[in-house]
Amino acid sequence: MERQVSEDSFLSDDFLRQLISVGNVDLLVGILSRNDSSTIGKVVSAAEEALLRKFPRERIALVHVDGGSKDGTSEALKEASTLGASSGMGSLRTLRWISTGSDNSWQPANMVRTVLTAADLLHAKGCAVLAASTENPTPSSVESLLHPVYREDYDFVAPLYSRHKYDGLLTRNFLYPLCRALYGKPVRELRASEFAFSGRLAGYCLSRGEWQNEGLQGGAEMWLAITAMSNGFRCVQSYLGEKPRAKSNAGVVDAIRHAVNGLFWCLESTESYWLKGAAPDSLPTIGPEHKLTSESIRVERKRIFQMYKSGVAELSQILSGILNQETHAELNRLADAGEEEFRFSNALWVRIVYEFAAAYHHSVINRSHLVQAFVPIYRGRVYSFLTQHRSAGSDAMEADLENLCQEFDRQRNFFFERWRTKGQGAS
Amino acid sequence: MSLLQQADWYKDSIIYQLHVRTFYDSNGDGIGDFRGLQQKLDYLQELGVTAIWLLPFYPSPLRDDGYDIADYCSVHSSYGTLEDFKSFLAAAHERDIRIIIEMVLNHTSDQHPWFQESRSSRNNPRRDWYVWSETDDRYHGARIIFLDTELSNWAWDPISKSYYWHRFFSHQPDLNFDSPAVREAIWNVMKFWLELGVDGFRLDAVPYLVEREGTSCENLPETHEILRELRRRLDDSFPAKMLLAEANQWPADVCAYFGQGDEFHMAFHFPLMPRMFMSLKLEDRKPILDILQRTPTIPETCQWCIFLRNHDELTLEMVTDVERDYMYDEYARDKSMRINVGIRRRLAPLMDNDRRRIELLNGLLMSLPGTPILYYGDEIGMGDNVYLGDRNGVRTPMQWSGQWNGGFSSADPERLYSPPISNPVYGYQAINVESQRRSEHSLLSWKKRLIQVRKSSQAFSRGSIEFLHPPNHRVLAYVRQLGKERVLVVNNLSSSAQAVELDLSKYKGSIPIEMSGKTIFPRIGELPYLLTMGPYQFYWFRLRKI
Repeated sequence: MERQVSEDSFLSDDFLRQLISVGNVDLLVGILSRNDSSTIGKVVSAAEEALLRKFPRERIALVHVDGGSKDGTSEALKEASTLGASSGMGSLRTLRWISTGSDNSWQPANMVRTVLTAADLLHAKGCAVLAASTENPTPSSVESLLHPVYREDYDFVAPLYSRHKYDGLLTRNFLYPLCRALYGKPVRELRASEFAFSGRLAGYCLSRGEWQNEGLQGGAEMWLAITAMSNGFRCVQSYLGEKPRAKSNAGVVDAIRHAVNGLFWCLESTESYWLKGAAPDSLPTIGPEHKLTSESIRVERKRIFQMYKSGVAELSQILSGILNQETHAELNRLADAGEEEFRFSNALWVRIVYEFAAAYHHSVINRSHLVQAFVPIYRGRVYSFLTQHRSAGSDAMEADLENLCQEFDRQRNFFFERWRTKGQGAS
Repeated sequence: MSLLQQADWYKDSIIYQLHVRTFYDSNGDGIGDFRGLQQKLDYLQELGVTAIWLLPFYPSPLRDDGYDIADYCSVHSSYGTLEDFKSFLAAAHERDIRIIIEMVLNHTSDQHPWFQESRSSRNNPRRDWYVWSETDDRYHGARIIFLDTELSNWAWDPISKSYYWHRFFSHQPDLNFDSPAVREAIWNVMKFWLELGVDGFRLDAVPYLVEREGTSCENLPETHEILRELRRRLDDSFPAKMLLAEANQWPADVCAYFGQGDEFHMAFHFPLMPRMFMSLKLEDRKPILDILQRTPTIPETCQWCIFLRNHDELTLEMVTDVERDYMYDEYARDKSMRINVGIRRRLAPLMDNDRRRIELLNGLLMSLPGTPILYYGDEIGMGDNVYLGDRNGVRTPMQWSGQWNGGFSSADPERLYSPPISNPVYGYQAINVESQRRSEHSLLSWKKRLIQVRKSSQAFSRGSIEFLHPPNHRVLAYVRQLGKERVLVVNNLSSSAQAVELDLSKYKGSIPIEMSGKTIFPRIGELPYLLTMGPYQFYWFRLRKI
């Protein structure tokens, strides 16, 4: 284990020494890994190729942050890197990797924080974060992330992907429409594993004393995006093509819990911004839109439906403390419906999301229980979504998403009221 | 032993490059001359110079700044007489200063009597002294060097009604080195100057002496054979004289000109020069390290010549396209600063007159392997004038004082061969020898001290080099070693302060003594040796076992 400088610093002496040796940079690329030995090589190659080809003159730091891999991830990086011991052929400057990690399985937020800190200490103008778990990264996507922060002075670059209609359902049904309604900015990928930010934004985020908060641990990248949106930083979306496949280290339930917990916590930390009622705003988008080429995704709809039904029944008592009576009753009625006639309406879904968010804010029950209770309801929504859109084309999908967003807008004042006033659960 | 008596004196030399015309005008005609140069020898001795490389001073129509020679065995009347040259040579030798003269072997001026005779008739005995052809269809493999001005390497001669070969300007016909008479004539020219006492030749454009069909007509084995023959004759008749090759090629190709130590004594390391500038701008040691690691070992008796600036453009032929674009963008954004494949600017303006960067580059020049060549005026930080055309902007009069014409000449300013630099930053009122001599902290005084320190250790001039590889790539560090003498050189290429940890464990127990101030630093131990360095700072440490 690396020796810590002091209790107050999460940067090890060794990492600090490496940062000193790199000195100030123009660009920084951070790769986050945990047991990604099978995929990190491709990510490394894509990053190096992008930097050598597109930024040959820039001062660059390549930072590998590992969250306690046991599978030889670091060795796989070294093997894949073409930079050699001290420099990269084809680059005007010295390029090399520096690395840090922990034996203690760092939370993802700590890994993001490490990259932010490196970017801040090295005065990077722009920084891209990549996930080592990505299975099909491309050099062009790395360039598309870095270009807006480095050349066009944006502060936050969210990726924009072509996705299969069944891919990214949490984003489509929950993260995107909720954030768009509250923050006014249509950021499609709030919880992306690859994104970019400016040195300015890094410095600002590090100055916020929220890094120890548990809510942030599940979604530092989301918090970064929301902090940028709610504090006047220039945001942009960059088309990266087809959504890269990623080897998942976490289960579906964990992913849902982290996303819900992270977003609800973000709402709390930025309430002074969105409670004013942010006006809808457009977001610049850079790069050519890509056509979707991926194969269809197989989903087990029947199982999802069963999990929804059993979950709602088992958690009825908890749900009654979260949802108001009318909403809870409607949810129960819906749970009685058969597979074929089951339809989870936009109106009910949005109301439930808002009531969960308010309940989280008021801590009506233990927050982790609350988040857990959200999972089966989300499954019901997903089942309904899959059934409804079985044969829908992309235009219809977009129209439906727009309807959902409008529903989130329509119920926004209801939500503001619930947020400000405690105690409207059914029990 | 006097430096003049040493056989390999060139290894320890500090060479100062100048054109007689630019240095000092003794007779008030607006043009520098040998008598003027002789008067300034004390200045050069005081600076620490041990050899002077004179640019061409021969009779010439001066269509290529004297590289178009019309008479190999005389002095251009503007610069004085042969007697003046002899007097100057003797005065230089009295001061232990060697004289290296320019010799253009490859071609003459079209005004040279040899060419006039050669073209006069196809039966003239000197007809085959040049390369003639009935067609312009031969030697297709040879590139055209001056693409801006020449369409072909052949030119039509209306007098002899045939084509003649020229690798450079069409007024510079190439000599035919396949002719034994030409080789003999050239040796006789060299012998003429050697007998007068010159110490060496800088041989211009040596890769192009011989032409062969189906080749690039460059670096041919026959060319090397001719050069080896010249060297044999030189060593046989004039020991301790030196040949310096001008071959703007990659180090591996230039190495052929050292032969087995039986061709040239020295050759320019052209690719290193732009990379020193590049490293400084990039704040990264990579360009310098890369090129020096790709530089082959040369024979024991041979030596590289290294330089920062000279009378030509800062040549960018020996860099990649990406590197060239970078150099142009960083050092010659104004297109008027570019010429041929290079940048026509002096050292100080290239460094934005930043004293720290000028010093660091000089520090590199004096500590990297090779014999350093200083270009006249750079020791005081002279500026340039890109509006003078060609490369004349870096060939303006030497600035001796703040007086009339910068102390260069008593002639009317309009009569000077070139207007002196007169702007408020680099003009002679601001930048001149007289004022810098008065200040201990001037660039000139600093340069004198640097040269003194360089001369204090032969590790710099003759030692091996071993690069250290500290993680901080903004720091270039190396150890020069000759026998038990070790010098540690650490350069911060960055504009900001840097901390660097050096692995000096193999020198454990040594005490670093900073060479300019003779300051003792902490003894080297097992742990990495930590140094903190200011922006563009460099250290030279003598490593002493005490």
